[in-house]
Amino acid sequence: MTERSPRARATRRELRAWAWVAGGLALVAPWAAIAEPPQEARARGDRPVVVVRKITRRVIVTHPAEPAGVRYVYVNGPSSGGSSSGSVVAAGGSSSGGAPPPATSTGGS
Amino acid sequence: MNVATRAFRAMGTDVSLVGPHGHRAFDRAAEAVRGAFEHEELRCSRFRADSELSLVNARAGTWVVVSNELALIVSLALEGARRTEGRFDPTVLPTVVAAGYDRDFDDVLAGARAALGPPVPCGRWGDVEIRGRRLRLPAGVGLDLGGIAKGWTVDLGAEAAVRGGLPWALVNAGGDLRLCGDAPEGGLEVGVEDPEDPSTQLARLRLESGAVATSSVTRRAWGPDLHHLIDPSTGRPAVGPVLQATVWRPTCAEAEVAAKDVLLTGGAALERSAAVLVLRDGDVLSSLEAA
Repeated sequence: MTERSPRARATRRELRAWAWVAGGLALVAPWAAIAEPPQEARARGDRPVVVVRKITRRVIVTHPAEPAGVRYVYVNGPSSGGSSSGSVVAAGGSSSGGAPPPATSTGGS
Repeated sequence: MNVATRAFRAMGTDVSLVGPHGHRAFDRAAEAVRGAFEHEELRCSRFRADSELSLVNARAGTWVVVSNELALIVSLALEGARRTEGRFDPTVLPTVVAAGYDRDFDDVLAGARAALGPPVPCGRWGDVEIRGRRLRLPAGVGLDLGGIAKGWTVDLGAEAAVRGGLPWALVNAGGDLRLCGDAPEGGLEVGVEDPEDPSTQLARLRLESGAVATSSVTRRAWGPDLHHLIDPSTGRPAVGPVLQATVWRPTCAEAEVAAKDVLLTGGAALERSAAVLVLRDGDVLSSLEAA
């Protein structure tokens, strides 16, 4: 009559032992994660790589140096053309706004 | 505005003709532009052993008779050197080779270049003699006409396209461009690429006549502070505050010289030049009238 069935409740001593084991694991787990060597980045094919890049440009306009067959176009925000103290702040890549693409471009060679 | 574009590769860069859409003379004009580039590349390339320029460089120290065109380009280059007090220097060849740009740029990027050499002094342009079609380089001196020859060819191509029947034509070779003829009303918009992110444009120009050229230390670069724009005062690639200079002049050959000058001079050059400078600190300086 005193024999315990396999599904009997754990004794207080067993519960205390399990609690100690769980507490110890919880304490050690973060350190174990830190001690892991760095893992290789995922291959590009796994997931799209998003590069966030924002260049802030401050445009400072001086008096036109000479009559020229070219003008500076401000698509975003007001122009301060002709003012030696004016400035327009534009974020690189967005200064052209939603305007149609230009006929061509220049950028050094 | 509807425009037509024809692109091809020459002088180690992308070349394009932009003209009115649907014009019957466009194809003929495009062939004229391509022909101009083929001829001038054969004349002025320092990467082709059979070019007229290579033959002249190989005979430095002796008088040689050159074509009218090469004599004219060399005269323009020497005049540019005088006007910029040597900041534009056509005798920079040994220096740029020592810096590692000793062959076609695609091969330089692929790593097929000789080991870097120590800086080589330049500034021998004052010793180059030219009398009519007779030319003599000082011994040990070589000419690099890369930029100015490209600008000259852009001018030739744009003029040929208009002579061929187009009402207006714009020729662009790697960002150095010239508009000829009666420009469309309001001019043509030209994007200025960001030197730190060429896929974006930091400004637009409205070109009504003349030429625009851009020099940048972030293009044709093959390592940290290793690029094709040599500062003749140091014999090394330029490391000043300017990343990129975009300059307007009546012709592209002049604009090429001015862009190099302005890049090396910095903001002070805006007092005398119609230009847009991009500085290392992020500022953009412009001396152009606003549209």
